[in-house]
Amino acid sequence: MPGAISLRFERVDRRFDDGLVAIEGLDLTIDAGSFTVLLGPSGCGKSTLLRLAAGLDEPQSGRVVLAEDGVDRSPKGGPTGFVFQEAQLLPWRTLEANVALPLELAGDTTAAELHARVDEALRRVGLAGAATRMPHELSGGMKMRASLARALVRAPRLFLLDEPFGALDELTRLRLDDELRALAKDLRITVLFVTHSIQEAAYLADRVIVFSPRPARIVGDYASPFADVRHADQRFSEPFAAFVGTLHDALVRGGA
Amino acid sequence: MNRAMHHIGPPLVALALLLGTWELLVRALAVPAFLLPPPSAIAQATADNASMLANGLVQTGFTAVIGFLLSALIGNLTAWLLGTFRILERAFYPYTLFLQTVPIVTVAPLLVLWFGSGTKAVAVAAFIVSVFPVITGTLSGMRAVDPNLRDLFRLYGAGRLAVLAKLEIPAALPQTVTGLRVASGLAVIGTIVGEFVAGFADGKPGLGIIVLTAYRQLKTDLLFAAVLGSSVLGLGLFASVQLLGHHLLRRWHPSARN
Repeated sequence: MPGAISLRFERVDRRFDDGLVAIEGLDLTIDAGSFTVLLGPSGCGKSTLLRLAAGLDEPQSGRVVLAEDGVDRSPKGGPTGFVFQEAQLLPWRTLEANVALPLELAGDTTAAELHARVDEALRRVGLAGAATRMPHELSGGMKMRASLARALVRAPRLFLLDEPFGALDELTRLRLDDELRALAKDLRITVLFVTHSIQEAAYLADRVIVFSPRPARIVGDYASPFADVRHADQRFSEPFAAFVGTLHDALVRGGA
Repeated sequence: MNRAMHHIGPPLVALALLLGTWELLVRALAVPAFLLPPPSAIAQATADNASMLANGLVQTGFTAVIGFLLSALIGNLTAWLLGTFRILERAFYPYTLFLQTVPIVTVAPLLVLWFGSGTKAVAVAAFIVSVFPVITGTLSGMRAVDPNLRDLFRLYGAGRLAVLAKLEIPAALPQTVTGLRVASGLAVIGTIVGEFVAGFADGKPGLGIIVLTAYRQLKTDLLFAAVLGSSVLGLGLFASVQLLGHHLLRRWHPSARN
């Protein structure tokens, strides 16, 4: 199994044509194999940061680097999985055909291997029985699981998630939070997870980075008070409440 | 049986009432038959000229289908090209508007010069009249693709051709079907108008020729029969496209799921 991947932002600036400054002078290193949550008010430039990490966008100055086994590379074409706020499934494809899409586009797998990997990805997210269903037949939670499976199918080593569970009901969201973290740890995937929910950040992260409103500045950088393994009870514990308070204060201090 | 009656009963009754009133009024007011023949006379003329009308229907139908297929093929190819290369869209899209606005009657003589009178010129007239909605339908569908999905394809290293084949064409399908539906009706109209100008060759008179001939001979009942024939044709083509669209979209698009 290849080692996990790390990510560095070096003095990154990103301004848009309309003069909007999304990110200014950002220096940030994301450790290999860590689960990092980016917490900040809506529209603060967190999504831009993810797009830069995915190689979907480029900075005006500075650079974004993926380090793979100690070797630097550009984010473009990296071993990256991306999950959007909406599931973004192709409505004309069955679940398995949706999950197969990245392999199909890469074009480097045999039909048998493709099948095996799609089945494995669907099983990982608990959708093994729904392979031939169409997206419109599924609940929001199932669609999001399918979206996760699609991001997993090419064995990514960097996982970028842009408020993925924001539109789901509370219980589904909590369950998916747990599953996502277990999955990432099990597969040793480096995760960058964007949210504006303090509770979600406090529960999911190894490390929470708090951002100010636009342009995104880092106003706080915190390690989780919990050990590697998470369980639902932690959400009702004293240290959890304290951590939530800390994050809340940082957000407020940042001007959110 | 009961459910079928529930659907077709009311329009049938309405039709019977309409035809009955028409028949009675024409007789009561003694309207001259060359102005407005009663339905019974139209039915009689249809029966008397059944084989000529049937041949006309086949001839016009054949030409309209050729024109429609040309529109479907060339219209979609054009849209895919314009949608794939922005520079082409900027250069050529304004001129496709010409197809939408040019009165076909003014172009038809040109078509006769180029293709000679007959099926070929008429089919091209049908094509010119019906291609625009196919181009705009497919093109606007391609434009409406979710930017996140484009990002997703980019992330997975999809080339331009893969984006077209696996994202844009299927995503645009609902709008393509809408465009084809509009085109099917226009193709029949274009064929009939084309026949007025260019349909006099090859000894196989289409419905447009029958309409013209009946008009010149003041056989208004036959004229009505030919008009009826052309609307049956338009309906038939429209229904076929509708059916095809429903079949293509049934599994995933809300418009075909009821």
